[in-house]
Amino acid sequence: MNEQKREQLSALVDDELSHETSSAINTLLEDNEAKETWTRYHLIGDSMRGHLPERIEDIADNVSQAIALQPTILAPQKESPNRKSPGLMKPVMGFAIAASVAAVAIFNVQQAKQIQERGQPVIAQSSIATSQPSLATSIATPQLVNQQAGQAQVYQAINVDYRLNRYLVNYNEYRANTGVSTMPPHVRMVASEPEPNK
Amino acid sequence: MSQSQINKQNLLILVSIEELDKTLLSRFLSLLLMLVSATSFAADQTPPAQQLIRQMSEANHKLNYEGIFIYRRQGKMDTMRIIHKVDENGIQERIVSLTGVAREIIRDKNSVICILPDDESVMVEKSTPRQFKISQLPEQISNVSEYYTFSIAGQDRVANRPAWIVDIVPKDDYRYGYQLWIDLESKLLLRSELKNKQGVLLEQFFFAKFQIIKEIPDEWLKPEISGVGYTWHYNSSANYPVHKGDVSWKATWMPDGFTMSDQDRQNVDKSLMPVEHLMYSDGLATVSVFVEKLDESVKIVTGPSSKGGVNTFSTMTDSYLITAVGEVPRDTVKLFAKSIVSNK
Repeated sequence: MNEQKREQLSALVDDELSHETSSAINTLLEDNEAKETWTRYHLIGDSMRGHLPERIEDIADNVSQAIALQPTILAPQKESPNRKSPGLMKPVMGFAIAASVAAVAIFNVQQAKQIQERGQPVIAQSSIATSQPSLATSIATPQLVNQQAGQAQVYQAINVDYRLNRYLVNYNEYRANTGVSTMPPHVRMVASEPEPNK
Repeated sequence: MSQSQINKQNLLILVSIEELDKTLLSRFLSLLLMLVSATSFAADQTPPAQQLIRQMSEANHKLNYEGIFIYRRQGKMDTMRIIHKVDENGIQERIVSLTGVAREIIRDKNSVICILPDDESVMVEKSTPRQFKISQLPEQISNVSEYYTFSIAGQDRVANRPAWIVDIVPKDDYRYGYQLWIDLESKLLLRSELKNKQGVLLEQFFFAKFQIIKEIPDEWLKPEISGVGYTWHYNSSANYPVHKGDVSWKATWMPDGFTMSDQDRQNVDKSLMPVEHLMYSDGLATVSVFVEKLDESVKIVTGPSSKGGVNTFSTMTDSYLITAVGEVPRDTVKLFAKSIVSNK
């Protein structure tokens, strides 16, 4: 399947093509390989629109942007200068493809998650980490570390916090199972931490 | 029937009255209208506060719902989504923060999974299921009326739903008060406020969007963060038989009305010794006391701390760390923690 077909499929999934083009694509879909691609794009589209959490959507956006900036590595071939692109259409489709690539990366993360759900936790390298190391670092930066504090102190702080958190979780469970609940359990755990150095 | 139709009908009645004449008749009619509205108010008569609270607890163990709520405390605010499912396996619940760090909690009757992206860790707490006994509630509620005053403060609207406001005011300084907004229709809790005895607001949550759902797809209860590469902590707790010669702990002071309701021993992945968990309640407020033997080398900060409306107080006795945790004033957790003694 050539690049143009792929782009058309991607655009079709995103409802970016006119009706006559889509009927042309429908014939294109007779082709088995195209059909598979079609299904995959739809799955990806669905996951990007509805089923992925905001955090991961953000990651998807970041990855897409990063990819868009480096078309030579991950995006489809650059358009040849002698081919006139119809206004905004071309960049939009380019982005659609790039976004799909990002979504594939996220799919791999989700697969890792499924593996994890089935058994013990695994330390797996996500595709995001492999393909976009700089992004992975920015995602993984721990936020609770006090910049001025030495390593030992930080470790201590985490320990204290961990112990209190554990107490709080157990307290919450007890609270939730005893008498009257006056708030959904564990809200205080889910709430963001107070500012450091307050 | 639309509003305009009603208005037209009213208009018609008024016209006909004028035609028929008489002030007498119109007076009769307005009286009739008053009677009609009076009876319609009687239909949703103010229920007793304690009955509403009991119904609220029951509803939470029967109904599925989903919603988005705001949680406020100490000048901070978070938005969270909750998914609450009840089936033959009991309650399954998932709460996700939509603002700040994407922390997430998923719980069922056996375990709690806390996903904490800010320190890249996942905490799994397993416990033997505690059976919720609805039958205990009325008794507990009637006992607590010695320590709290219950009343209905009126009606309000939360997440576009009419709700009763229930006021719970403590009679002494050892407990906090509550204001609960209970859905008129489903009796589910839509909003609550935690206040000290003086009525100062300490903590608040309220739904912005709320819907009761017949079937909740299992997908909604799956975590959004994979936890891949995170540190996983597994802890478990269980009711345990107390053996002769075991070190056991108890509180020698507690506010009137509190009794010890349960006791656990927890195996914690980082502890040398299991953690004792003593649970106290007055039927409404709860206090947990944790006793943990620490390695001499571990330096620990003792004293008070708080998280939202929960106060904690830690103190060291010999090499044991004693921490009281509760949705009660700081003095109460402090006195609890300081009163803990062992049988040794």
